[in-house]
Amino acid sequence: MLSLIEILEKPNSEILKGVEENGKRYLATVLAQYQKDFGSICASCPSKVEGYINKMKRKYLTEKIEVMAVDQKFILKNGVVIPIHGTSMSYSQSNITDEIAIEILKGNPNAIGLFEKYPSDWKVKAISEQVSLTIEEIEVLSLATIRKIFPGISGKTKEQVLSAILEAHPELRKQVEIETIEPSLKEI
Amino acid sequence: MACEKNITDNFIRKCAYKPKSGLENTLYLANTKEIDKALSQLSTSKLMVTDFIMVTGKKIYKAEGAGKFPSGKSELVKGDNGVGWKHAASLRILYYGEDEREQIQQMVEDGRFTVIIEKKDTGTAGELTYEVLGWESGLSVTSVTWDSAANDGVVLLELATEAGEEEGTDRKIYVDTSLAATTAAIAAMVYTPAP
Repeated sequence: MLSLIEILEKPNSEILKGVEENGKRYLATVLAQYQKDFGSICASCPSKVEGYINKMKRKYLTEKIEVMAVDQKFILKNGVVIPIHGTSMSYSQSNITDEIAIEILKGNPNAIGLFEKYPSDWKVKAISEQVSLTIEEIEVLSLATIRKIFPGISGKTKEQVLSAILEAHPELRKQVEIETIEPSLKEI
Repeated sequence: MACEKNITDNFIRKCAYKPKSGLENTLYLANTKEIDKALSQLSTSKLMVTDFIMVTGKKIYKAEGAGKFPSGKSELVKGDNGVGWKHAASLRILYYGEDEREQIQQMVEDGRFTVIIEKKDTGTAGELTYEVLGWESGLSVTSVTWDSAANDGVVLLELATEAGEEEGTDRKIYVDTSLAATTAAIAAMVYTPAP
């Protein structure tokens, strides 16, 4: 039999549908404790059930979150739940790790808006693989792909985008300068 | 889970609060398909967007109007298969150059757009400032009209929910952790052309 904390650590979708081995619904355990802690519940208000679950999570998982948060660099905003497509899994502050946060940000850097706290170098961590590309490798990519790799870079044409990338990543400019100098050296 | 069909709370008048009509003169357009719906966050009631997240590299675009434009509308639609909401927005294209014509030409080709509006009615503490139209299906361009003898010759663009694609809820409130955070989030999403 699962403890209340173990049930509350599950995603809301699982709490709503899940059943223990003895046939008792997870939801029944959560709502019974809710009634003890906060008084009566609205039995005819199904739209409020998820609110009850979230309130219980806030009450019972806060201590655990605070312990985790001491070492965590990425802290999700209160109430944020990130579902993982095609699975019943989801991440909230109760189960997310820095590594998972970085993976999510690699998928979409715009997700930084979901975090209450994050290290200032989060972008380097999240897109470091892309920045290690050489300017030659970037130039042969389509404009759409370049925009995906460098989402913060604007520009209408490929030339404008490449120029903006060089401005944002001067380390790539160095390589360009070396390449432009080399032919003249060959001529000498 | 059965849907709630009963009234379960009061409608209370707020003290020292006067509702207001009208929008601020800038609205924001997102290509609906470019919103990261998996990462974006809605409240349990689905009537509030708390995090508006675009897909990697995608931006939202602002449209500046004047006077009473842009404007927004929402109305209940009762259909055979349930109730829905029709959202609509109107804007005037004040300068209609080649770039603007190109954008309109692209938009009318069956595009779907989610619109963020900034209302003059901000609620009691800024909580009603921003609202989202067309979060689910997006609005399509229903008309583009120009009359040289009317409206100072500007182009009027109308967007609305397509019939049969009605939204599941009324327009959604958009509020991040605070009004300032919402304004900053919008500013970070807006497309800035290269100088």
